[in-house]
Amino acid sequence: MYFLLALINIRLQSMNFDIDLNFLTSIWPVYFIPCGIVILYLIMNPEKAELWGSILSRLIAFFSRKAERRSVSGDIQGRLNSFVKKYQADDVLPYGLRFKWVTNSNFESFVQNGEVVVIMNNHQNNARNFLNALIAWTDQGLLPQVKNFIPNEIMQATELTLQEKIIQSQRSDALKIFRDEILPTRLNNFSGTAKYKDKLSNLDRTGYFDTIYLSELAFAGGRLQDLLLNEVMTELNSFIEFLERLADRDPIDDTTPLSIKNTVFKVSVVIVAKSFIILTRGIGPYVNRIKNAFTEKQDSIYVLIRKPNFTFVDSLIGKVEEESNTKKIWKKEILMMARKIGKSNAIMCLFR
Amino acid sequence: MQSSYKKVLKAIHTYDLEDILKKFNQYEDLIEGNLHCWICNDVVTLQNIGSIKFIDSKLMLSCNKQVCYEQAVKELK
Repeated sequence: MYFLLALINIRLQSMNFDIDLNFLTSIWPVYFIPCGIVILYLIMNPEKAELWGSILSRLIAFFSRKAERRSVSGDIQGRLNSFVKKYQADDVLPYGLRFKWVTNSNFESFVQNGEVVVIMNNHQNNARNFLNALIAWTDQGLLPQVKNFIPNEIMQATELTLQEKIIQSQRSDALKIFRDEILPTRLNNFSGTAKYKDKLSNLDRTGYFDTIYLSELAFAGGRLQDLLLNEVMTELNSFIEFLERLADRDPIDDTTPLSIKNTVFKVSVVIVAKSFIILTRGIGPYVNRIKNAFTEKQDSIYVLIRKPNFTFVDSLIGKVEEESNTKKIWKKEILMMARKIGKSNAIMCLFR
Repeated sequence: MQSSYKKVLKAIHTYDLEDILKKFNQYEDLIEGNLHCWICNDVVTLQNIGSIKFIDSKLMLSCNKQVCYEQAVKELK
């Protein structure tokens, strides 16, 4: 830094400006520390950098085609990558998205024979641009290792439910276009899609769609390839039904099954909701339930913690990791909808 | 962690469309309504163009109807 300031000083002196080096060195923290913090934040959050780049580009988009293109792509890339980060959905959508703009001058070098290139509109139509990019992105990048083993109607319903969730979260002004123009056509592409879309949207409302359904498809869905089509349908229907019953469960009902053990999906759910258990017996009973589930060779244990038990989350995770040969894969704060409780915040952890 | 690999979406901004179509001598045809969607065969105009497919030094165009756009997207590499 001193070297840089010395160079600046020499340069200024050669231009007949006499600047006091000591003055510059005394004030540099005032400028460089905040700048450093901002730069560090943007490096740690590249999706935010993309969004800010897009906003800045929009200011000069009227004068520059490059800025206009950047304003379109930065906005879309930033929003989609933000979604993946926010929902920790990297197993479900493992690839980010990057635009490559084709222009008159780079056409030959960028576009190969037989290749399709999509058209994007002015940034003022970015809601529609966002939808077009989203459709292309999820078509290519949603559950790429698994999608071919999932029947069309269920895959289509899964994709539509996820797209709707992404739009609600990142670009709610595009929701009307999606519901009016895109959804009706796509629900009719394969018979049965509408039925599954309803089921999955309900799972989304109740908090089990991206957390358990998508997460398990990404993890265990590959095993579907070893099954016959009717077995695949049975597996998936039974898994969806398990989640539906869980979503519809009365908080004081102890009869709803909290685990499923089929050929493909081997999942247990542990619900930490009753405060008096923790207050009287500590976290021990829950740790034991989690350990028992692994002893029974379940693949994934989802622990759902409802208010007011949030303070026990970290000690529960630590105890489970300490006493069993499992690892916490993720911890998410989610918004759930449950009977008699309504909307409420919860924490969900996945152990495998 | 999300893979550092990113799906590349090749795109043409509508601002650049005219130049590209002129380069391939298809701008006049587009304006005159002589170009058709390679999927549904509807007439493609500057207002409803959805994607371009480049085949043997020629451009094939598709319209922006939802069905056609989705069909085109399935062919993305």
